[in-house]
Amino acid sequence: MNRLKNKDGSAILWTVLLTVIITILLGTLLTLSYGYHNSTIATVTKQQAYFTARSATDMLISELGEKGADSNLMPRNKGSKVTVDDFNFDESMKMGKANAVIEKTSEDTVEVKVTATYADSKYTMTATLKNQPIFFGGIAVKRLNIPATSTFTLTEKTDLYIDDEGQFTGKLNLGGNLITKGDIKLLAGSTVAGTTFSNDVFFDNNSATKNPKKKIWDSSRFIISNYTLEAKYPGFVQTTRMLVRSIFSGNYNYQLCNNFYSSAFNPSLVDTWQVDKFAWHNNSRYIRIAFYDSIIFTDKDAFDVNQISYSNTGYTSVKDDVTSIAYVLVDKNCKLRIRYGLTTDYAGFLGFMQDISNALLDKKLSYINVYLEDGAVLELGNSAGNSDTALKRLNFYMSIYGTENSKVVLHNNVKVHGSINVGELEIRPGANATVKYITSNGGQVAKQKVDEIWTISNYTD
Amino acid sequence: MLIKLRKKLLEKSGMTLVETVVGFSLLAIASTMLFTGLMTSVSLIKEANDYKVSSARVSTALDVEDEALIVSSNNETMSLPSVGGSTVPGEYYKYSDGGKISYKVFVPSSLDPN
Repeated sequence: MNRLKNKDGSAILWTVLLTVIITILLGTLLTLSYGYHNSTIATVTKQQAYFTARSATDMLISELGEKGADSNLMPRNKGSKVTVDDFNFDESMKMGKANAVIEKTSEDTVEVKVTATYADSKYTMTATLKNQPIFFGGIAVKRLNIPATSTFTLTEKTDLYIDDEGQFTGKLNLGGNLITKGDIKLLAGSTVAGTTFSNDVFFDNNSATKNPKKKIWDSSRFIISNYTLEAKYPGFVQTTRMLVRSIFSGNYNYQLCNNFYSSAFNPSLVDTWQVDKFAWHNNSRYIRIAFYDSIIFTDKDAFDVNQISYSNTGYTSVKDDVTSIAYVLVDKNCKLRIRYGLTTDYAGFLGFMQDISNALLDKKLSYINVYLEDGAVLELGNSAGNSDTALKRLNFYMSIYGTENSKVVLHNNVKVHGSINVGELEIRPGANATVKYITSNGGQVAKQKVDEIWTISNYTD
Repeated sequence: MLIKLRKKLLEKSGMTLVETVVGFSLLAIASTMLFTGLMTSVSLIKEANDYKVSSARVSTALDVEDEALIVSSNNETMSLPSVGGSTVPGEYYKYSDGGKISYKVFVPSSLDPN
């Protein structure tokens, strides 16, 4: 007992005990630190494996989206699979390897499963691609001329189809999509499909490494160049002309150049169709073509109009379902110049109402269909002036159709609500013009399916 | 505690010289281990944290596809990847953070918003 109480020499025991405790503590600390370090390193390699998997997935999305059923990677039948063993990334990049399995899970759905390996890390990513239609609606022209000093704006959901090469030096602000049959150069600062390009961008057929023919963000935002729309969908370009022709299957009236025709109008949406130079007609609804002040036929082939408007003066028995439509035909090699459109207060109406007591018409839409024959020219906003009042009256609610040799010229501050489908569209030098595609007031052609794309619908990281 | 032990070891009563020497040696070794171990742990944790920060920074830089990160722009010395028998046009992007971490990614042109 005394020996136990004797504390002499206990220091060495305490030293040994402390050393053991410190060793255990340090061992634990070092193990934890090492584990944390290793875990971080694994996260780093996993991150690269993720990037490699993402690169491979994007490549497949690009390939399948670009070629669709023409790609030999597209499984043919439901349930069939295609395997990709390697994506051949450049060796110097040291991105690791990736392989993929592509499976057609339904007629319009493809599932892509990519597994990437980098160092000891693996990463699996799946994506679902769906076959979606691409729709087009807006301006379809063979040639588009935007001078360097001009700006041409197509509002959101207004698409542009150029049947030839789009070579213009002015600024293009295209809220909708772009389809061009030839090569196209988009200048820096241009906006297409909601994307503003900070540099000049070429879409051509000659580069193997960049600038693809299609640039598709999703089924509603895309650029397609070198695209033969007409060949793939015969009749598309001419569809509107056929439509106009069919409307005019019955009798019709028109004013062309210096010739005036008037006869019964069919269909009977408007009782009378008259060209009025000086006075309103009473007790009838009619389309009024007001001449360009007192100057008529200022040059040999031009017909100058101040405004085309609609009147229902004194007419009180209009039914709810009445929709006023005006048809204007411009004969071969003639030029129609319309000075004013409408203010936005009358958006949706062909012209201002003379008799507002007939409120039924207020809710009805009206529009003007213009058809241009070969060599015909339609100028909108010509000599409209720059007063505030004049500028407000430059909204044209129209559907304009023409042959491939017809031409539309838009002057400064003109805004077309409807659609344009002609041979050439010219923006006057220094002008700032806008087109907004709408079917309710002017556009007689609904958006049409022009292509199908395989686009990503689900992306699981 | 180490100071108390040192004081006890300096008290010669009940301890031989050998025990004292061994005791001091053990104390020295324990102190060295403690110091080295702590330093190593701190170093490992710091390095791991550096990796984490760098990784997050690099990932963000690549995700926003900064033009400055392009390492191939029609660079003839680098081969474009291919799949299904056809070359896929696009750009390689690379970002390294002080040489410690280097991430690489390939973005096909058709998916590149710019």
